[in-house]
Parts: sequence; C-alpha cells; structure tokens
Amino acid sequence: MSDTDGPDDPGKHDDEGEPSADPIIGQAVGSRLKSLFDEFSSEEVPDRFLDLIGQLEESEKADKGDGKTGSESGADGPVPDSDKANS
Amino acid sequence: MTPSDEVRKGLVTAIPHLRAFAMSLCGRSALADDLVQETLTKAWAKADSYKDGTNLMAWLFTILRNEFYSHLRKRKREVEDVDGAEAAQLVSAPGQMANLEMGDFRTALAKLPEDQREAIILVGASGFSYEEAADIMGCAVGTVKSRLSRARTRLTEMMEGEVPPDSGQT
Repeated sequence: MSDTDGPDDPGKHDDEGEPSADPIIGQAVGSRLKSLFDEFSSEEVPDRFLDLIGQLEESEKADKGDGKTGSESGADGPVPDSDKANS
Repeated sequence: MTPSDEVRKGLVTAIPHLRAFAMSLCGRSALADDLVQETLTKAWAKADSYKDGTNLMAWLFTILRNEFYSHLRKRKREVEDVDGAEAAQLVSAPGQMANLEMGDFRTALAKLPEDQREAIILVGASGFSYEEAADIMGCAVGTVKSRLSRARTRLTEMMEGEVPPDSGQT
C-alpha cells in the first residue's frame, strides 16, 4: 500500500489557494510556514549563484574539450569537487 | 558527469526553493547561502546519479539537507552545546522581522530539534508528500508523521506563549 507513486512536484504548487493545510500540521502552523517559505523563496537570487552555474558550465566545456577551443584549463572553475572533504 | 538539460534547467529553477529551504533550516545567514552553493556544486558533479524523469527537486533537497547535517556534525565537534548555540544563532535580527507574530514564529521554528524542523518545512512549506519527505530524510513514513506531530505541538505551545520563545529584552 505504501506504493503510492504520485509525485507531487513540490516545485510547482499552484497558488490557486489551497487552503487545506496538511492534516497533521494544521492550519495555524501551516499557513505561517508557507508565508515564511514564500517570503524566502521570493527573494531575488543573488548573482553568485547564477555566476556559479556559469562557471560550472564553463569548466565542463573545458573538460570535455569537445570544442576545439583548446582545453586551456579547466582551472578557471573554482569547483570544489572533493566529496572526500568530509572527515 | 555532464548534467542533462533537465538537470541544468532544474538547477536554475530550484535555486529560490533551495535558498528558502536553507534559510528555513538555519535562518537568513551566510551559512544558508553556503549550503545552496555547496548543493549546486555537488549536484553538478554528481549529475549522473540523478535519473532523468525522477523528482529533481527532491534530489536537490536531499543533497542540501545532507550538507546541512554534515555542517552540524562538524560544528558539534567544536561546540558541544549545539542546540543552544544553533538556536541562538538561528533567530534572525529583530530588524528583519516583518511583524512580531512572524518573528515569534521564526524563533519558535529555530528552537525545534533539527529533525522536527526539517520534517515540518519539507511537508508544510515545500509541499513534499510524506513519502518524499521520508525519502529525503532517509527515514520511515511513520517517523515523518510523528516528527510532524511533535513539531506542531511544540510550535503551537511556543506560539501560544506557554514557552516564551525569547523575549530578548532585559
């Protein structure tokens, strides 16, 4: 029964007022959570993140070297690739 | 290793949600943005572990919460009293509070144990299903539900002032 595969696509809740809060969380807490989250998520995204995506794309192009751009250096991407950093 | 277009676009779209998740977890702070940065970088690096067509947002949230916990573990080694220290730090500066009520709510949220805070944000704010939240947190669905219910109880108590969240003034 736990096999419910109905991904809700949390990324896109439709704003068409879904006033029914989660039954466990309840309306009072639920609506505050939502408004806090909305406040945060509607903030303008700082440039650093778009820059980061740009850098990742650049470094990948350099890696692939598929453009004959002469893979000069993947070094311009300050991409800390180390998964082993946690210790 | 090369992220598909789906991942690429998804990453950009996800940024505001990831930030909101991070800020809900640890307040509006440099740490929140560092978590997002780490998440984007990791997601890019291990894009091949994402299966196209599955829930990208859930995948990204999982990475972010793992980053969050590894940060907490690191911190725990430094400061033994994580609960107190984190809670104090999570409270946003008074000037940022839109109004008193939301300020109190933030304070209350910050004082929840991490696992409860995480659960209630995932389900109540980000809109994940119990199953998805369980997946993200790596626990059973029943655990998600009990965390939610404990979180609700504590938040309600704090909001009703039985436990003054933090009166601040002396």
